[in-house]
Amino acid sequence: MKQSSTKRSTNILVSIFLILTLLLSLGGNLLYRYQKKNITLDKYNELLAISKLKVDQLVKWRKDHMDEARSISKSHAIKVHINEYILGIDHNKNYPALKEWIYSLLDNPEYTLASLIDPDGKNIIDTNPADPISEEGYRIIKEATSGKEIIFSDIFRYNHNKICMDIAIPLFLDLEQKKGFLGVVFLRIDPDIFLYSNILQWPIPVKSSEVLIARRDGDSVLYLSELQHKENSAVQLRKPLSNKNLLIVQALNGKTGVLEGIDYRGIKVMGDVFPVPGSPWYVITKVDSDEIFNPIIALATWLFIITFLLILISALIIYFVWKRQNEEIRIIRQQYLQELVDEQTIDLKELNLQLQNDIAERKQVEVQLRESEQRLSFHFENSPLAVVEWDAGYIVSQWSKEAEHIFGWKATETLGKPIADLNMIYIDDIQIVNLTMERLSSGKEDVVVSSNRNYTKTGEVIETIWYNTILNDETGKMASVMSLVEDVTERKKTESELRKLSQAVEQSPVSIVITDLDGVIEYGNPRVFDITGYTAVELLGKKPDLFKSGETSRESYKELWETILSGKEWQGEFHNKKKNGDLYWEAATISPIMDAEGKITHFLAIKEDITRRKKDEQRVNERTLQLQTANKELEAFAYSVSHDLRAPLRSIDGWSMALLEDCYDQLDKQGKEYLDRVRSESQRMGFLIDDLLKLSRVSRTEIKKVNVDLTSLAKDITKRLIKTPTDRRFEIIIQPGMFTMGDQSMLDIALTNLLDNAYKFTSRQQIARIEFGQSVIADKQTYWVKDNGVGFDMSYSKNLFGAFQRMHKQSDFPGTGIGLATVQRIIHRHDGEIWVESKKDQGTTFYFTITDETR
Amino acid sequence: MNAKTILLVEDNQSDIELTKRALKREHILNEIMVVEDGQEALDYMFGKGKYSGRDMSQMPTLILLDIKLPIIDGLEVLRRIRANPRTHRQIVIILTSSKEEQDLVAGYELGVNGYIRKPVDFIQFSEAIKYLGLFWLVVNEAPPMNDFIAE
Repeated sequence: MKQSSTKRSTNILVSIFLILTLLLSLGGNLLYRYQKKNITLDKYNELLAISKLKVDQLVKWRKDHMDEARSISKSHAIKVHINEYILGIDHNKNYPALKEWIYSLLDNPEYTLASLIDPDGKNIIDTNPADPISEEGYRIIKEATSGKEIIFSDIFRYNHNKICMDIAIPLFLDLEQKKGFLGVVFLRIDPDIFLYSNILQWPIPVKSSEVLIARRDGDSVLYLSELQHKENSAVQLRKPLSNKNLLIVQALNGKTGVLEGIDYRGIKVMGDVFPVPGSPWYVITKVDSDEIFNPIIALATWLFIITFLLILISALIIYFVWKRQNEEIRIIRQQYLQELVDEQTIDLKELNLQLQNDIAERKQVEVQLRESEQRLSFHFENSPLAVVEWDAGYIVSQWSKEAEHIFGWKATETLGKPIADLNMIYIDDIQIVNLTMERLSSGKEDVVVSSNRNYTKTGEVIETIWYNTILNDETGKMASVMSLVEDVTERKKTESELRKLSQAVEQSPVSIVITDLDGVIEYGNPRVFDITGYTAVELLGKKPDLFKSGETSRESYKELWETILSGKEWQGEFHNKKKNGDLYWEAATISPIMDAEGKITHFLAIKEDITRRKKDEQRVNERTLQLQTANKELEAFAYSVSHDLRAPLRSIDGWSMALLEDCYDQLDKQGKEYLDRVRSESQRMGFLIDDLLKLSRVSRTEIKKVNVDLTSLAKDITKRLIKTPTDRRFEIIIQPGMFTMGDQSMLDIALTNLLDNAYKFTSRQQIARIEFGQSVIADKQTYWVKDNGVGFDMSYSKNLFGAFQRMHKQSDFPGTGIGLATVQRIIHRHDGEIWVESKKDQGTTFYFTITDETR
Repeated sequence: MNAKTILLVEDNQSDIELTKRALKREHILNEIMVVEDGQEALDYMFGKGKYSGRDMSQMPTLILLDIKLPIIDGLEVLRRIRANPRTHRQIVIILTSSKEEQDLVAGYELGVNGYIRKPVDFIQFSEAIKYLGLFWLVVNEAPPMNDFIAE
């Protein structure tokens, strides 16, 4: 196999080599042909171009000479001279002028001779007598004379070796009518001077190129120009027309364009032959074929060499490739053999190992199968779900431990018995169970889950979830049903509890927010959205920073976080911002929620909107401040009153006294009496001021509550009252053991006023009866002071407790009318009430209550 | 100057006259020095202002001091008298119209020797002056001369 592959690769290489050789040869050949065509075409074009140029030059050359001849024939001044000379007029003047003119014609270097022939054919002026006009010259002179036209001779030889071309110009006085023949001007052109040396030269340096002029002469061709390859051949060399290979002959025979043929030497040439209009001449432009084909041959040679070399190189490369391939193939074959041996060894080993594994595996599978069976039955027995299985006849075949636990029946009581005998389906759920059984037996579902209630053995109702799976036999009929049963009674209870709790949270009038450890809000109850104006979408996932108004200090937040992160509860107030920018106050309790391990998982914030309370507090504070200010003002006023209002009264009294003392003798009885009035009024005013100050003091003095022994206080007061010597008789009854919380000195003032009143208004009684006691009236502890004094008509009692209100004449019962106002103020300041019951001449009872928070 | 001069600090002209009258009526014949504002009282006590150069060995036996006074009020005068070691033992009786609690408290806090509220009734006032003079000028042993003077 390897041997043949070597051969094949060798064959491939040889084929490649052959194809390469063929391609290279073909390429070389094609290149050669292409280049040859190109070069040939170039040469053709070059030849054509030169040929045309030369013809044009020749035509122009001939035309120039014709033009000059015509201008001579038109030269009127000369013709006048000739005419006069012929007529023999003024010979001496005309002859030199003519001579000078003829000589001037030689200014054109091409002319080697100029002559003037008179009408008689006599040579009058000849510039070169040493080289006289040839026979041919005289022939064209005659032709011009008789034909009356300018005649150009051909190029011809004369005197055996000289070559020339003559022009005969007949002169007429009347050129139009060709009348008045004056003679002929004869000019000889040396073709060497311009024609041969200039026009018939190749414009570019090509070795074998040549421009010739020739014409037909009888049955031969006469070469008119000096030939490059044959000296002294001009107008001498002739070639017969029978030589059809000659270029000129080919042209004469009607061929045009670039021709291939031979030249006068018989050498292969390529050239163009073109007739010169207005003459019998043909211009031949030609190049040796060899010269044209030289570059082509060189190209062919080079192409051949290069092709050969390329083929050689490719042969060498292919040889080396072949050699190397042979070597590689040898190595690969060796490796392949080695690999084959190795592979087979490994295969054998693997086979061996697999065999061993198979044996071990089979053993393990057996063990696993046994274990699996054991495990399955273990799982059945220990499953947290009850496992119940029954067959197609609804006979129980499995009844796990948990089934015993949940339902109460022992396995021994159920196995082998129809499940229906247990009557374990809750009566209202029979429908559900029937539906489940239908779904199961329909075979459309592998697992049917149902939730229903069951009876236990003891008749207790439990909530259960049944995960039923059906096993069908090969015919598709139900073989058995296995159910995993979960007792969810507790769970349902918990769920219902949870639902209640969650509703409590949802409907709570306080805001409840639950955040994660970073403070990201996970839950907010509807109240949160109510208060803040944010929607759930806007709030959940954000932090409570959203509510920050900037009114709560950074320290507060810091303290809050430190507290709750340490697991403690934080309580405080926030001044927060709603979505619409309104500020509101919240009293918040924030506490960490911990998992079973005591790790903090969430934070719970319970917040109450206390904006209204805050506003109220603020209002109270403001009001308190106002009151304090008012109090201060009142105090300042009272202070001023107590100092400044009494001073003038003192002066009035003092100076009245001074008047009484110093001017006693000058005053009559009435005057002294008036002064006494002044003094007593001043003093009464003094008392009024004092009482008013007392009243105001009651209002502005702070209450200091202590336990006041009203019984002993009243006793002291009555003692003080009765101390004044009097013949009045009293019956004073004071209930023992009366105590209340209140301001000692204020209650003293109040009781003094009340008892003093009782004392005062009983002055007309034989026995003044004064009582102070307490009893419960309308569920309230009520104190009363009762007298058997003059009393008063209740219909006038409306303003009894107003300042300066008096029910009696000053002369009957003196007083300021401020006492009861003071009492009422004191009772009100003790959050109590005071009222009075009285009848004229039947005594008066004052009732009052005192709010005692300790009772 | 009589050794037992009474310094009366009072701005009300009627009160000055009536006080003098009451003193006279009760036969208290001590020389009475009257100053009409708190500043003048202090100048007198410390020999300053228009009293600079007065014989400072002569100090009033009794100072009757009103509370409501122009420039410096009576309680402040009392405070400065008590604050200065030269005068702090001086017997000072407040004689004023008011018996406002704040004045009473402040007076006794500052160490006043007596507090008499001038009654409207001149006879009562005269009586009060009588007992005052009797007690402070007769019965009471005056405090020793000031340390400053003893030196």
